[in-house]
Amino acid sequence: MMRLAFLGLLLAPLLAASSAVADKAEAPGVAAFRTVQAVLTHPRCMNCHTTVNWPTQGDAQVRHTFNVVRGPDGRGTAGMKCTTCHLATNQAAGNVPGAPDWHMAPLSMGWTGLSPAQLCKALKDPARNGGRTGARIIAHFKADPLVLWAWTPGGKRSAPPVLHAKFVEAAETWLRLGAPCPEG
Amino acid sequence: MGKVTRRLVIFGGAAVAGGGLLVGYATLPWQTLDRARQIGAREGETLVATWVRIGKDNSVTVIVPHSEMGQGVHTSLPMMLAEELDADWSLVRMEQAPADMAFANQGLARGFLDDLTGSVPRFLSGPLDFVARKTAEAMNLQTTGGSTSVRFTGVAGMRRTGAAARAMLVKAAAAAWGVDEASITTENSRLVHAASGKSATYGEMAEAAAKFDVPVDVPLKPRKDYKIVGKPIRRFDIPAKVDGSAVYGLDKRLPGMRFAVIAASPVFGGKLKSVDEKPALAMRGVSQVVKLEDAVVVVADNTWRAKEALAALSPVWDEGANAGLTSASIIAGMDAALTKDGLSEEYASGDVDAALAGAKKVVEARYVVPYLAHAPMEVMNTTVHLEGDRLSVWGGFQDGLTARVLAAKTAGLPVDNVTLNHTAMGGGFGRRLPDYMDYLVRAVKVGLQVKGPVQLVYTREEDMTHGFFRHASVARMRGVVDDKGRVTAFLNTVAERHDPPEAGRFNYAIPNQAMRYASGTNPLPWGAWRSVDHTQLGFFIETFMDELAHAAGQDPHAFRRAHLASAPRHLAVLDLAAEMSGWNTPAPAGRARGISIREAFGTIIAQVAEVSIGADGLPRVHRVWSAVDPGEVINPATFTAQIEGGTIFGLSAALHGAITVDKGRVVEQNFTDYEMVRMADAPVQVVKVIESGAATGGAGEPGTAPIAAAVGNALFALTGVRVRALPFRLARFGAGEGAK
Amino acid sequence: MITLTINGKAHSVDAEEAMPLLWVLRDILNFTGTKYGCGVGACGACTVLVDGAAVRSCSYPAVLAQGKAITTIEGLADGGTLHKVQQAWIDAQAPQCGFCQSGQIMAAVALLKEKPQPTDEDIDAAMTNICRCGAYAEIRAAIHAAAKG
Repeated sequence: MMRLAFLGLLLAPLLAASSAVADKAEAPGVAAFRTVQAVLTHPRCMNCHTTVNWPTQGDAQVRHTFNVVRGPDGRGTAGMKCTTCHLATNQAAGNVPGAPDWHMAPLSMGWTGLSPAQLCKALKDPARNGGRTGARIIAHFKADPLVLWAWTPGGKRSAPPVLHAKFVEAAETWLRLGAPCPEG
Repeated sequence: MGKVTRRLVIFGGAAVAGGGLLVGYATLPWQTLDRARQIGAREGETLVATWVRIGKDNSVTVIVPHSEMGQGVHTSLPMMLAEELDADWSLVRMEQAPADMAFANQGLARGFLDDLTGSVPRFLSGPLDFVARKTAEAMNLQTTGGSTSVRFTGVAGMRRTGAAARAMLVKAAAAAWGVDEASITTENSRLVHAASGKSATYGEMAEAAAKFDVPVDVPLKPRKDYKIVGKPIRRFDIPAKVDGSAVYGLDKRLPGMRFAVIAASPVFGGKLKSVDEKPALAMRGVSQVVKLEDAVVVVADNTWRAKEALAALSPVWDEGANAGLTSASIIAGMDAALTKDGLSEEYASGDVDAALAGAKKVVEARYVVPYLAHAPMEVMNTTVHLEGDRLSVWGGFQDGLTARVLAAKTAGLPVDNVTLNHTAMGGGFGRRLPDYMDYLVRAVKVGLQVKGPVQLVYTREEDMTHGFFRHASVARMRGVVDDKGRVTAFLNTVAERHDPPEAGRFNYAIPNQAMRYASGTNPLPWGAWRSVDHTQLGFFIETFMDELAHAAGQDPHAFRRAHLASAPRHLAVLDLAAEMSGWNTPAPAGRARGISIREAFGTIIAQVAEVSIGADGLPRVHRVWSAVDPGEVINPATFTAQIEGGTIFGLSAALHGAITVDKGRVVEQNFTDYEMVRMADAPVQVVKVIESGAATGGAGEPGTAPIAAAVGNALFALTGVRVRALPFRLARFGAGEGAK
Repeated sequence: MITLTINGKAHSVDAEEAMPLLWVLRDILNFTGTKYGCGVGACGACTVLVDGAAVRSCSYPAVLAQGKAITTIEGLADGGTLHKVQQAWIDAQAPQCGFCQSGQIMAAVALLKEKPQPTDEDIDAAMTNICRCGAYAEIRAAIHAAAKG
């Protein structure tokens, strides 16, 4: 029971944050970010945007099995690449997900444990977003095969809670309105 | 090896008691040898005694009535025979015994009877051999299990056969040269008469030697004269395992062979009601759907197509009585059983109930362990080919003779019409023992309905969910520590008891102790799993001993020591493990050590594990020190590998392993949810051996017995959290510092 | 029909698009040295090399390997001379039951190709294959020995 109560405490701000998507009281730019945030914090994104030496997996975001590590370039280690198992498309045989150039985001782009405000700041900080300008952030969201994969994840994996087009639209709105961040 | 030992006790006991069996002794064994000579015949070679053939080219072929599954018996048993034979090792070859009554393993039975009867007077040696042979035949005995191959078959079969064959060769040479037997020496597969300068190879004398009776009580070599035993001899089976040429059961290919993939009722005991075969039959390569009473099988031209087509079917099952089972309901049933009267008593000394009743304070603990799968790397499979009234079978079995008899029975054929071909075996760990050959029986049933050869394959998911599991168990322990820090009472009550006899016992000097158990609490199919009851009881007993040490306010090593004063071999391994691990020096920062000791399968083993908690909150085992007294070691390389491997096997279970049940079905499907220790999690291990010269102990299973308790005791020392339910991954220790 | 180049030889196979390389190797072409362990890429028993990189053939469609060089355990030795990794495996007496060892050896070859002198950490990261017998110490020793030799 103690643990459940504790979990509830942890989850409370997150739940509040997602309900804030529709919160009229928030500035329109921040509201747009809430939509972006709902996608970015989804397991399909978070599993490879970690701040640790390994990816996580599944909707439960547990450590990737068999001690998989990110390696020097986020593509696995010598002799054991991400692409040893993850091919360019989802594989029905073995239920292994796949997309072109399967790899992890760099450590600098890790999001594990960030608050919405921290995530927002990280997203627009070139030192923490892979040196991307606004336009290149949109390009990543719009067309990167790994990002697109999140909406066709295969198997029983869940997709982000917002349609891809809505997500891109929200990101564009957020940037257009000066990329404001939530408090905190 | 589980039930086999029990059956042996019964049969062996009855046979020993029946004095009339002595009568037939003079003739019957030689009739068996005649049959062995027919079946085991090879051009240019002579079967001198049941387990050894000598060729004209001076080759020595040792016939081994055990299956190789990585434990090295296809090499260590020939070493034992070759040693007593004074053979030249470079000329020694190995052959697995045919699955025939003539090669029933009387050495195993004899070893077991020796073990029961203690040292056997020489005048009883012959009768005992006869009883052993009859026992082995009656049991179709070629079992590989119970860590018995070396300690029983090797000691009572291979050594004696090697010595007997050597004696026969000497007799033949003495007759040929007209000299006294005692004046002939043997070395490196040669017979030499120094005085006359005469010499001959074994190959030259083999035919003449085979005409003599096989003596039963030839004295064995003293250990100091060993030239082969005790050396790290390279295993015969390894070269074929590094170039892909070893043929495992799954690798058997025959012209026109089909592949059959099976789905049995997901609920244990369920039956197949109906299945619409059309979706499978419409798929490429599928030739047939076979319905068994409790399973549906798709037959196709390759495994993948059969597997895909099977997935397209929607069989309707009569789920039967077990459809409501859950892990929680099973554990609750065990808890209830332990509180009822009428538990069976395994052993008792002193008066444990009085001691508990009169104690000021009783230490109590309840432990729980889940079901476990064997999950050998090679899934269950068997290949069969029925041609008229003759059946051929290929596969890896932990008892070829039983497999052959079972195949014959299933097919309704005489045993003589069935040929059993041994393949390499991708792990056994108990799953391929005689009582659990469901895959063989089903393959034969399928084979009776399929034209031409067919290979039945369990997918990994089928293998994981339809095993004969290591049974779940609950234990309630009660103990008393007096004000001098000595344990005065130790009561172990446990749900389910199987084998081996020593698993519930320990050598601590405790005046009042007892073990009681409930039966019939495990509704799932269950059976022997590497080290059998040691996997549960080792954890229960050695964790509770740690709890008692804590209650006494004593160091866990010193506390055990104080209770082992009258068990010098145990004391020696305990102290060696402590010394190896630097027990009395602090562990590295963020780590702690735990200790445990077991006697398992005639081998005494103490382990120290060094652990930390990672940043992810999960336990890490960094190092394990094992001190082992198996009496003697035949092949030090394979012995160490077995202790290390047995430890990893136990560690996978302790850290990760749980087969859980919901709605009567096994939840875990594959290695994705039934995780194993892998390279990065494998502790650095140090194994040291004490060759005390006591009776030879086993190697395959002892390493598994103490490790869970050693790890749990270390985790307690580190965190203060006493984990009483396995696996450890489910425990919460809080985040530590040792993450990688 | 698809054409696969396995251990330097071309093979034409009538296999559907989705059929994993593992089953083409094992059941159609009888390269049975490559093993089925789990079918979901989790154990590594099916590891082969495609253009020198380790892949798990149980979840790798055979069609993707067209035009690439596939190396299986049967193709490692050079005529009668074992690959140095195979020899190291024998010298370390690494296999127990042996069923996982084809995959372990292929994974080790892929590791050594990229990291000729791997550290223990490199080995931990690269060697994710399951050995149910627990022969990890011998496998590790064999990789270090192969790196030296």
